[in-house]
Amino acid sequence: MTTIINKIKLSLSEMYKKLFQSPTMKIYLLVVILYFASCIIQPNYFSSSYVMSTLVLASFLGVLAIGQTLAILLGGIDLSIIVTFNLAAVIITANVDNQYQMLIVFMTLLISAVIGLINGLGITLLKVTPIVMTLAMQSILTTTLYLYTNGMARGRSPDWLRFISTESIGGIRVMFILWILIAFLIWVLLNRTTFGRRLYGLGNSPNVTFYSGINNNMITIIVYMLSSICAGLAGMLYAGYLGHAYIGMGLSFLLPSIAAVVIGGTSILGGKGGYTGTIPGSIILYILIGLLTNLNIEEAGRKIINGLIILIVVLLYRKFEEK
Amino acid sequence: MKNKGSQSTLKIFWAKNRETMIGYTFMIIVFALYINAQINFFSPYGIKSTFDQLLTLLYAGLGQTFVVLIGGVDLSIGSMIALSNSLAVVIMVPLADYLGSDLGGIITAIVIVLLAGSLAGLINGLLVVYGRLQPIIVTLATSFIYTGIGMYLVPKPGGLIVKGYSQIMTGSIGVIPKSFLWLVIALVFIWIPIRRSRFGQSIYAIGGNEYSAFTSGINVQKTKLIVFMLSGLFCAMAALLLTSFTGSGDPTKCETFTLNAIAAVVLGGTSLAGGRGGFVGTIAGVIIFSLILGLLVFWRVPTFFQEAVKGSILIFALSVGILEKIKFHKRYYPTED
Amino acid sequence: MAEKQTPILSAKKICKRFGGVQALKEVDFECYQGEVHALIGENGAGKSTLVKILCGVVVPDQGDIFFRDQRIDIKSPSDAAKLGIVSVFQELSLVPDLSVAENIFLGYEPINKFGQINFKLMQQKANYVLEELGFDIDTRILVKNLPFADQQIVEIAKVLSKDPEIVLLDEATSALGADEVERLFNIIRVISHEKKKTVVFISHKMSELGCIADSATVFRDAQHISTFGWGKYSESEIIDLIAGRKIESVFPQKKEIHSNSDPVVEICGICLENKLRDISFNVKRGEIVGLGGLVGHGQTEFLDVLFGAKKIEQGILKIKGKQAFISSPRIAIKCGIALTPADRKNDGLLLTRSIKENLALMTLQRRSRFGLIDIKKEKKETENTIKMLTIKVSNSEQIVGTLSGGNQQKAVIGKILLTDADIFLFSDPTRGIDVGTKFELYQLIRQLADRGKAIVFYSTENNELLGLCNRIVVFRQGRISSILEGSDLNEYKILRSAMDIQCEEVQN
Repeated sequence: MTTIINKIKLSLSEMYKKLFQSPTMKIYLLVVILYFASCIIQPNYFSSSYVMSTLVLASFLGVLAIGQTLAILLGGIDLSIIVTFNLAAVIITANVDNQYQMLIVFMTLLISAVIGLINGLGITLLKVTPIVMTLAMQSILTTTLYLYTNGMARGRSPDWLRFISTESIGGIRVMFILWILIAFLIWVLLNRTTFGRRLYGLGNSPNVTFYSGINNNMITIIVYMLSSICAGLAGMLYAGYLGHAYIGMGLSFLLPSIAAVVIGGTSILGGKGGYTGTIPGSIILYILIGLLTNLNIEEAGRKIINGLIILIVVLLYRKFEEK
Repeated sequence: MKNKGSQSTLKIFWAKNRETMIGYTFMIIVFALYINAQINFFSPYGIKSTFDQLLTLLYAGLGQTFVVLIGGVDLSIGSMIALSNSLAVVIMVPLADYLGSDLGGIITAIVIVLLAGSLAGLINGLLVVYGRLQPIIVTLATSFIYTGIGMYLVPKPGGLIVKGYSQIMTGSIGVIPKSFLWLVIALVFIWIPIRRSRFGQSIYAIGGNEYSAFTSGINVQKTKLIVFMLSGLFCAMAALLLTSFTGSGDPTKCETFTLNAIAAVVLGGTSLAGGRGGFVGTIAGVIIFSLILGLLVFWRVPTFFQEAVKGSILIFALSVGILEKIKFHKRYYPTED
Repeated sequence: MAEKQTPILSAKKICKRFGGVQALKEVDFECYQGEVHALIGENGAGKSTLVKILCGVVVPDQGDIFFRDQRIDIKSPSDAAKLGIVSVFQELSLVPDLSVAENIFLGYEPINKFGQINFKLMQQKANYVLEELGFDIDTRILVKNLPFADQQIVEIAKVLSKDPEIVLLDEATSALGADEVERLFNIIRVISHEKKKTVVFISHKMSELGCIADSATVFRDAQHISTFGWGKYSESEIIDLIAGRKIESVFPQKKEIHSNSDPVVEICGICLENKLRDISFNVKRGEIVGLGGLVGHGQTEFLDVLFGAKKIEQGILKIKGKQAFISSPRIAIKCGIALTPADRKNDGLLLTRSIKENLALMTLQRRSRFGLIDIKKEKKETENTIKMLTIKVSNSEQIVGTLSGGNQQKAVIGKILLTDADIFLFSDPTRGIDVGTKFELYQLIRQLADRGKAIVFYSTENNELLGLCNRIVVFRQGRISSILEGSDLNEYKILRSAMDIQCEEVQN
């Protein structure tokens, strides 16, 4: 009996050490601090509905940034996610009257996967560097978007989608629950699967994973496919939130997706970090947006402060690393 | 052991400049297509308008080339152009009024804008060198800041320039368009002297192997600072040229320059890993880019299609070149124990 | 020989700490003008750190450095260069995309009054420098297109071109072949005895040191142990000083191989670009086959081919009688082949990850179901491996980059041991490894052979090949020069085969 208690104590203290010594905790702490700071400035924020709505707003960026996290962990980047995001939103809204909704969702995710597959193939087989490949795909997909919609997005979001993105169950927003579930799956994927180990290995050193019998190309392709699938998923959900889609709805998400990943502690060089940091990274960005909008700071000022925050956080990470 | 002279000069030239040559091959192909399409290309107006279009991108590409050569990427190019552009349209006329002379206003404004651009670039450099951060992250963050400052100066597209400013920067001297002169200036008076100096060599050394550059006695920190400052300086120049074309300031429209500059640099054969390529290639890249856009307009291709074309070109150009990626040079250096 | 006077360079009470590791503990060092001074010791003993401090790459936490009796501060490589102190490390300080000439004069390019580099003059000067040293390399070639041995020569030419006072060489001969090493030693003899310059030389190769050193300093555990003139101690006494304990300097007993047992690996006519031609031989169960010959004659490429890291153009490979098409390391592992890569830091280990993760990396699928890893099983298996190989770590989460060279190599070997392969390939496993770990490695390889594994072993040290292997395949210019066994297993035969010399006796 005592050995079991000792074991529990040991694993709890190990967890405690791991959690509180990790830099990720500091980011979660920063989220809480920023939240309370914003409450001081705007007392209205001290309400569960505000917290919930901020978390939900952040969740769309959060799901979108999953792909960016994976791509950056690999040492690459995915600049095409915002158009995949847009494309998925447009497809799901245009087909609102179709009775086979499940099929439409499946098709949308399939198309997203194919986009990711093309990215992956270009990067591995044609050996085009990720910045350029995904940038090029972004351009090509923008054209595809225009062709598909003839210049204007039609339709509206189906009811079931709007339910997920805007309604609550038992006081908690469905979207938030969904985000947590997805986040958990991603955590398992990165930390408890062979795929996750290979991903971190590849992000650290392709030579080593090669000599360890790992198929580098396969891992890369899967990562970019996952990235696009998450982008497509995020696009659909966001369309559910807005009620409709429009061309260009992804543009303002590109730099924030990279920012969320970096603020979360993932190294831009790859091999270090994870999604547990991207989550608070996304939330921080939205607390800031909310705060700044409320203080009536115009877009110019918001942009400046956004940039300064990224710089400060990244500089602090550097200082922490060097200790 | 290789014997002296065992490799012909041509082979050695090719080994060093392979990607740039590929870039120029593309350029010639595109050029041929362009001339074929634009029947009035060889008219003075045709040549002039071609060069006018590519001028801003040319100087932006020059700034980006420096940063890419040391192994980084500058994501704030477009923002620094926006900042300088906005600054120019806000201060030029008041300065002219204050000094009581149009020319004085223009010159002072130019000096101030160039200083501001250099300062913005220097800030990037300081954060990279002393903050020990990756250039892509620093410039990502500062791009927000500089665009924001630009938007603060010019909230809505507008601003004023002094009458005559456009004439000074653009137009023609006889048959030669001034914009062509700006290209020559960039190449002959800026790039070549830098390239052939010790500073130029250290840029390539840092991009090739930073540790080697350091142990060879090169002041890596100072070189990096100057590189980022130059990037900002050339963005300011690009902005001054842009201002003379558009006559106004519009910070939001400058964003596209960042990625277009990266595309031009890459198309021109400069490797994103650093240490290979140069501005000579970037010139080809800029020309390819601008000519293709011109071609698309001529062929009446709808605007949204142009994006797809841009993208496809990038993929095609890079996969044919198959630039070796970063890790390769590590194979040659077994590490010590 | 050395002149007895005040030392030209001395260091007193130098301390340096990297994170949690004390690299140098109150170390003293001195060397005299005109002498060749050897620095020896195990990995982690502190030799490289001292050299890095002396040439300005690293700044000491405490201690003083004296040059010609004057106290000096060396804060950067250019400070050291100003004093005439230069260094050559195993990590070359060359820029791959620049030419040989550009590399030699990096930072010191000849310029005119406008600051513009005279490239033609630079090339001529570079040619002159290499000629003076007796080497023949086209200075216009980009360094990345040179074989590694030539790159090491360019590096040496680079530092010598600055006419230095003190030359620090840290394992600078690792990839050089015997004739190149001899040429380098001649240069060292000239600059030390004739030109009265000082050379400090780190190497693990006792035979080399014997040829060249005037005096030596031994470091152990970050401390200075002894300084003595060469010849004062015998080789085994020196080894004792290095290890601080008595080392069994005998190789484990070899076992005889039955000549009629079936071969596990049959290699027929392997060809690879211009690197390998017509390689054919067999390996039997329990046999250790060595790959000999001068460095860079195809041995590492051959092992890469066996492991699927390089694809062959021609040739047949048979594993246990069945033809195998090994097109990638993944397939090689499936066929029961495992390799320790020659470059363990870049190809063998994820330096920023834990030792547990590194050990598990090659065998992830064996401890997982539907992709999910069994964490407990992984921890157990990796900890067993750590214990079995006596890898010195505080726990299995320790970051592999903080381990010494010997322990890192053990980690790589641990990784491949977990694959339970039938055929083990070792590519230069003892490079840069301390003496104690080397002997542990020999024992391990012997045990593997005794258990019936087939082993192919490449080493740059002939005494290792002779001590461990049943047969030695000598490579020359990518072909097999000869296969030695039985009474032919001696250094003379290996050298003769490697260099294809027809001579009666071999000078030692």
